[in-house]
Amino acid sequence: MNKKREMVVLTDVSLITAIVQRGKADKVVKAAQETGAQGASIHYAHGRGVRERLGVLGLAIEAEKEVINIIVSSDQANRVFESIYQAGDFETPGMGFMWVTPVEKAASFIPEDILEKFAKVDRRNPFDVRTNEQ
Amino acid sequence: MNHHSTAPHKLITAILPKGRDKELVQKLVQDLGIQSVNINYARGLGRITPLRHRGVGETTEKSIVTVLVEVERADEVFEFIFFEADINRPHGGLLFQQPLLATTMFKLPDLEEEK
Repeated sequence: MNKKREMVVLTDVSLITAIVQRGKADKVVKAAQETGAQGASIHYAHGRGVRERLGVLGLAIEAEKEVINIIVSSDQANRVFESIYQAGDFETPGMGFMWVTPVEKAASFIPEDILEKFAKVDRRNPFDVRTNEQ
Repeated sequence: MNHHSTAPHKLITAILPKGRDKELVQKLVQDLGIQSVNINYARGLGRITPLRHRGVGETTEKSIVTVLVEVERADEVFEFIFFEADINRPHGGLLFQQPLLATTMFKLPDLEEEK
């Protein structure tokens, strides 16, 4: 098959990275997906620091961590960030930590129908598509 | 101590389906001469993944390749990875590039490859 050699570059995207205790990532990612995130990658890490200062003999905080990386569009970043904060119970000391880093550009497979939909959007009125969908 | 390189770098990250990393890294090293490549493994959670229809959940194994490149070569390497890792297909993965504030030089000594 002769595949078209073209690349669609996405800009205005951000990377949200969250470190949570092992076993809590799925709940956090589910909350992120419910607020618009498409997906996430999760890997394991070993954490130390606050563990030694909380709980009896440091047993309250799980040393095994899950590191979640989520790419979202920049306009969704705050919403997803807040939902992760709530789902991960980040206001409780020792539960986790997260940050957002800028992404200059991203690229992935974009289905034809979505590309066509974006091509029809009036660039002067970004709410055009949303209005039509409702 | 001057730990900042004169030429700043960009960080390119490719999240690929498991198993597509080795060949890509080989090409990055041999074809482009890049020396700063890392691989780590993760599980991916997506809305729609290849295994979803088999009822085994939405989790798939991922290989994550991170490459540190000079600013001047960033676009070339970004494009190279996109096509060589065959990202432009359904479930082909995701590629992104990030700016960095400070980096150090990393040069390997000129030694022969181990057989």
